[in-house]
Amino acid sequence: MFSATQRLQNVFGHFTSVFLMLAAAIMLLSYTHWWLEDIWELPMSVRSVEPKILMKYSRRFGGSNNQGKENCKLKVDFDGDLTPLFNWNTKQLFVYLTAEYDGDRPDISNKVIFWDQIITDKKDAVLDYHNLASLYSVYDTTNSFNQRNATIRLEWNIQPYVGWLIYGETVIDGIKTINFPAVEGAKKRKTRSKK
Amino acid sequence: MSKQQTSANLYSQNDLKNVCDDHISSIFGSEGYTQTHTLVDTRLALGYTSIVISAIVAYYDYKVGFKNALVFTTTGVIIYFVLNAALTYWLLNVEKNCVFQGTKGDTRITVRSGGKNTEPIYELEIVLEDKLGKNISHEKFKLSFEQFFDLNGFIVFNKFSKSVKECLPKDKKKM
Amino acid sequence: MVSLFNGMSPRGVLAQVMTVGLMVTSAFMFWKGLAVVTNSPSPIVVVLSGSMEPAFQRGDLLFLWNRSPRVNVGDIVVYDIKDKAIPIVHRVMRSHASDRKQLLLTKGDNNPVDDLDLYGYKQNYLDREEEIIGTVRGYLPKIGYVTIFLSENAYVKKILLAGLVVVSLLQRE
Repeated sequence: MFSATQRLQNVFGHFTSVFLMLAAAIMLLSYTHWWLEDIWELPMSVRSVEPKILMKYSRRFGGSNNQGKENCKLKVDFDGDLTPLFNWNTKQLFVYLTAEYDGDRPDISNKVIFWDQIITDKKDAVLDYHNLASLYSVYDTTNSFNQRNATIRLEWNIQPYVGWLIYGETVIDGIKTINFPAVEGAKKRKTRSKK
Repeated sequence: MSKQQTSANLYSQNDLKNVCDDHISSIFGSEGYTQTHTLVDTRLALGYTSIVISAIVAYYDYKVGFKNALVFTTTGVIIYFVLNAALTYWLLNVEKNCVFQGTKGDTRITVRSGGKNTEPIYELEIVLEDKLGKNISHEKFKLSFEQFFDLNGFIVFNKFSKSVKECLPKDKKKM
Repeated sequence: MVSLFNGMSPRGVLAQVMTVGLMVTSAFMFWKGLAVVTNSPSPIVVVLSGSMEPAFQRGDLLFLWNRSPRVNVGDIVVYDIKDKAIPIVHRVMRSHASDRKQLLLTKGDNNPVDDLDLYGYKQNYLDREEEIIGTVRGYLPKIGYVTIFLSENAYVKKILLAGLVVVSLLQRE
């Protein structure tokens, strides 16, 4: 300790290590807490999932003027309590509803998000939805879902204030699979004369 | 030899030690020892080789992109850290704060310096060996900085030189 | 500059310059080592936009991993499209994977629509192999703000860099 720069350096170094130690402590304690709370075993009761398919012709929905694309939307009923996912290190909870289904070849697998929700407050972590419309109009890389079966999951991702991200899924009680229906009405798109 | 014009910070043991280290070689030079630079040169070779490797890795990665350079970069990184480990080993176990190494006739001298941050003491370790590497003498000394630094932080070379020369074994001095 | 090395032998000067060189290169090689281990050209990134708020804010530091051959839906990835200026950090909404290829559709949590408009001309999906730099695994808040500040004030960066070099040349051990 014999010059201003050295003092400054020492103070800065000390500050950095204190900060890192603090971050490490927050991290380790919170991960232990999550682990003790058994957060990978949270139940979710899914009472109904109703898929509905429409043809879309815009790029936004995967289609084009000449070729329509099947777009699927869901109506879902589910409830569950995700409050155990919240502790002092939870910055946000991202909850999402996924469907996983096969493709044309055996090596192809698809997984899509139909609905998601950002939760930043523990009070909002008790989910109870009736007739919830899925946020996204989902289309496949091919033009049709071919009335395949899909596995439904309700997954979550904890974004911590500091540390590594945690992923997991709830244990679904109730409906776990759906069947993509045929196109509703199956009406052909009117060809427009003006271009 | 004494070109030291700037003053040392009297509150910094490290600063004072560095000034002393810079003057050691001229003292032993005047005692008739021919300085050998093998230790420092090896260190410099290790260090500069790793710097060059790092520069090549940076250039090649920039030139062909991360994916194409991956094998090359991996090899470079490994060599770099191996060289760095070798350098650390060299500094800690071979060079060990050596400030002077020289020969006079069949005698080889190795001078190491040191000191604690909190003490105004210059520690000297002088090792004399014969041709076959057998120890003739191995002694440690503690010199007080106040003996040879003035109030303004300038080293008084004559006093320092005298203190250091007193550390040399008497019989060797007459040789 | 000569006065920096006052009283030092040529080898002393070389050694001092080497110390600075080793400092700079070891930082660089550590970074490259991390890149090799994570298989990501840029294993640590700083968040530049607010499209992933409230998860990530400007200045947050993200640690990436790029060893898994397939990324998961729900993962937050960093992608870099050719000819687009900066890499983007967004969440994977859809994955269509085969043995050979994985196509991804991404979206920012804070954005109302998916990233179609951010992709290249007529591009509908991201290619995992070609365009994903890594998946976000770790997170440190705010620390990266220093780099944003430095890159937005180029002259401060230069002065600081020059200062660092001079200070480390002056300082021994």
